[in-house]
Amino acid sequence: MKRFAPLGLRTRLIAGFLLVAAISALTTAALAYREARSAVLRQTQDTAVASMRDVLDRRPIRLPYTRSTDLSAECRDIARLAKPHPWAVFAEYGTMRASSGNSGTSTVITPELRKAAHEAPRAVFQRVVKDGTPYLTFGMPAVMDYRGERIGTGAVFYGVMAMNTEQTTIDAMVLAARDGALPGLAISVIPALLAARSVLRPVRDMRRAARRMGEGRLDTRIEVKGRDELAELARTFNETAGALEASVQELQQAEARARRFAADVSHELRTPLAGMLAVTEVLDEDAARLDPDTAAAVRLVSAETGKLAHLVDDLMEISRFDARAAELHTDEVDMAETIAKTLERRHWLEQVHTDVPDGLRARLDPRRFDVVLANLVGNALRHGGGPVRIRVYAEARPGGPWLLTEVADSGPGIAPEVLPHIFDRFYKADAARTRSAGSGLGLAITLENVRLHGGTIRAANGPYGGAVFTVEMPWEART
Amino acid sequence: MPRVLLIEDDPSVREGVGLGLRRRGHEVRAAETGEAGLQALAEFRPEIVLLDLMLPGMNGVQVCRRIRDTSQLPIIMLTARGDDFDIVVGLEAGADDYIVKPARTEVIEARIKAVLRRLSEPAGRPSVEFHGELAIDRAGLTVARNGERLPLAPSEIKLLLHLSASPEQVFSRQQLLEYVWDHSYHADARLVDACVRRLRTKIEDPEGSPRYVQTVRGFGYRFGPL
Amino acid sequence: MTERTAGHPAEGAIRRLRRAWPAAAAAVLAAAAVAGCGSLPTRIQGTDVIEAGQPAVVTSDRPNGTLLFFIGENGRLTPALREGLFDSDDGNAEGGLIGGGGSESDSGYLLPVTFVMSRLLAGPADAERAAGLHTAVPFSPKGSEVKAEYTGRQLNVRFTFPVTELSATARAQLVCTAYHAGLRRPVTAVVLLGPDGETEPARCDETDG
Repeated sequence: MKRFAPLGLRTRLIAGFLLVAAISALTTAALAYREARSAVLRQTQDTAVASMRDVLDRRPIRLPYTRSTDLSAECRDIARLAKPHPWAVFAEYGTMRASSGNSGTSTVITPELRKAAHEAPRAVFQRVVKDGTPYLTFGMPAVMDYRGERIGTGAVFYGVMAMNTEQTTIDAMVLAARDGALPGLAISVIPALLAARSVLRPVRDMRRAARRMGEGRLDTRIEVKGRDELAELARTFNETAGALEASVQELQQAEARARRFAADVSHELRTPLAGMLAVTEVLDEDAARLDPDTAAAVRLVSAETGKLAHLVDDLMEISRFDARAAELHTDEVDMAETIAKTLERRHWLEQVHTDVPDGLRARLDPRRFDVVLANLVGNALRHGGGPVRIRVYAEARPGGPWLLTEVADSGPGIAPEVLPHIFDRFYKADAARTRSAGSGLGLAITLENVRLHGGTIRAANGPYGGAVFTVEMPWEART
Repeated sequence: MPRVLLIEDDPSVREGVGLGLRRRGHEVRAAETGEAGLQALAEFRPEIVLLDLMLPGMNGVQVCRRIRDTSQLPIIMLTARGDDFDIVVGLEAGADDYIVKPARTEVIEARIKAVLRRLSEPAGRPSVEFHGELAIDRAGLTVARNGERLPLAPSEIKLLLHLSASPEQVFSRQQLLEYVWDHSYHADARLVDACVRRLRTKIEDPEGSPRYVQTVRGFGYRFGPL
Repeated sequence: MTERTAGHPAEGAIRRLRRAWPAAAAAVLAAAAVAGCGSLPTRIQGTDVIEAGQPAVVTSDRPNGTLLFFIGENGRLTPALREGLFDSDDGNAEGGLIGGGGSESDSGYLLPVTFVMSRLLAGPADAERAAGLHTAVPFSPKGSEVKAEYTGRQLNVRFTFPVTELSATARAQLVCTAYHAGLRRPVTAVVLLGPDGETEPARCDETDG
């Protein structure tokens, strides 16, 4: 979705700052330059035009000019007093042409300027660029004061001045503007960095705090400084964190209470069960001598006592996992032997095919691994049916080899809707299934035992049907 | 049938276990507290003690130590799963085995028999073997070090006999649990480790590494080589 | 759920636009700044013709001289200034000095008009001719009579030759010269009269030349 690669906040802030600085610096420089430039040009133009007017004003002349030499003399007089720097003077009168120099006519003065100077009794000027050199050309018609009236004399004087000095001045101004703007821009990086820092520090603090909270340290808070929007955000963050901590604490307490209750209940059940279980044999032995109804009742009590003891045993085990009181007692064992003993003890050797490399040794808790394997094989035999296959193999992984144990059955497999819940406590895949199948905690205890080894367990359906449970554990379980 | 002293504070367990064992022909004396149990020792002269760890007043571990101070009577602790720490302390105090409650009478009886069972003697060997400073009398079930008889608990002497019968052969903890304790292969290996520690304090030189019962890292234990 | 996550494609586009617009604005600003910078001329450039105030006002070396308008070589109306009113350097001074007609009080003001007009009719002097001046007014014999009178502030100048057929240049010469000649100021208009009639009242507008 994103079209642009997102830039960091710092980069964006600094870029924005610099952009603003650049725009204002450039705008200011441009405006100042324009003003200064036109002031320089205006000054020159006004000075030149005014100086010519000053020379001519009140100057007594004789009309008509009868000789062009008279006109040339006027031109030289005017040129002598030229301001702000020397310019050439040309004059026209009728068909007469004169100048302060040698040539009679100028190549710079345009016909438009001459036309305007002749038609309007006003001073006119025009800037002309010729061969790369800028010139100021101006025309000054001479009018005569005659008894209070202004009479056009027909004489027009022209000034032609090269503006090289002005060009130099303007070039210097451009240089000055550039040389001023660039360091200014460079210096504006410093406030940009400071501003970015002042914005980013709270952001960074907040990120760190959020990460710490994610790691479970819910008591994390941010120091609130100032009254700006970021401080407001920090305050909100703190309030949220406080609320979160409170509710998590409440949940944890509730869960801890529930678990302690379960543990307490099973603990309390254990003592009466110990007495009861010790006498079940007595009941079983004597049941034969009782009348059938009593015998059945006695046998029922005996059998259920056994199951109850088993259930309480499992509950105790789960409670210990919940309380994180379960300990791992690892030993280095021969896998083939370990698995064979598990099967042998439960008389499953006939029904289970094993594929375990000879001499494969691993470090694990033998008692817990026995529980894991017994639960998985027992489950496979009960729900899937034989033959059940156990395959053990090693797999190289980053950080060291792993031990993989696969238990596959030949049954119908596990229904897809059951799969996600198969390790849940007391989860019954088949609602109609009788309770006698197990305590309902077998796979949950299996999962906890594998986790205690630092491993995982997966349930899936094999390519040819049948459920496949895969236990993955580090080769050397950490104690 | 052996005479069993049951020290257990809970009446239902006391009664139930007592009833079950008596039905199987054991002579059972039940005591309610540790103190009562210790008193009954001299008079009843049991062959084995079933000792609950959680006792009011003097607790099971203290009782166990008091018994070991004077005799090498076989002791089986009664415990509840979840009392891991107590099991370790009990084993260190000299108990030979433990049973997790609740347990069927047949299980209790099997443990009693296992503890009391004598190891089968290897044929064609002299009754007294000498290994370094140790003199092991397989027939008399006694061990002497430098001529001085050592007070070894039943599990300790059985372990030493088993290991020394095949010097330099390595036995895994799981195997030792099977052979010496008659446990299932996957029982609690701490039984072995605790027993080895107790045995070493009695037969080994306190300074230096063990000579007789040596640890083979990653595999288990062996006797010697000396 | 699916409806919520899918969204409308246009919505996404608008959201993208919204996210993009500050960047676009910045880009436009930057572009404007660069363009403004680039458009600033660092070289001096040419301009159109621009007015620059009053012309130069010179004075005459003959402030009391006679102002006559002839035609320059460029065809424009060109002023010439002669010696003072009563100078007689050209020998025409006495001819028709006092014109007839008009009221008694006007005669003093009008005296110079007839005098000046008769000088104009005599054509450019030698020096003026040398400067390239000539006249468009038909040559009049010496003594050709000129009379002048005021009607309010309007100056009427009567000639003995026809005036309605005169060229515009000639009429401008006559009107301007008469306009500046009279002593009563100001004059609002000049009317030329002849045996064939009279011209419209006119002012001296030199640029019309």
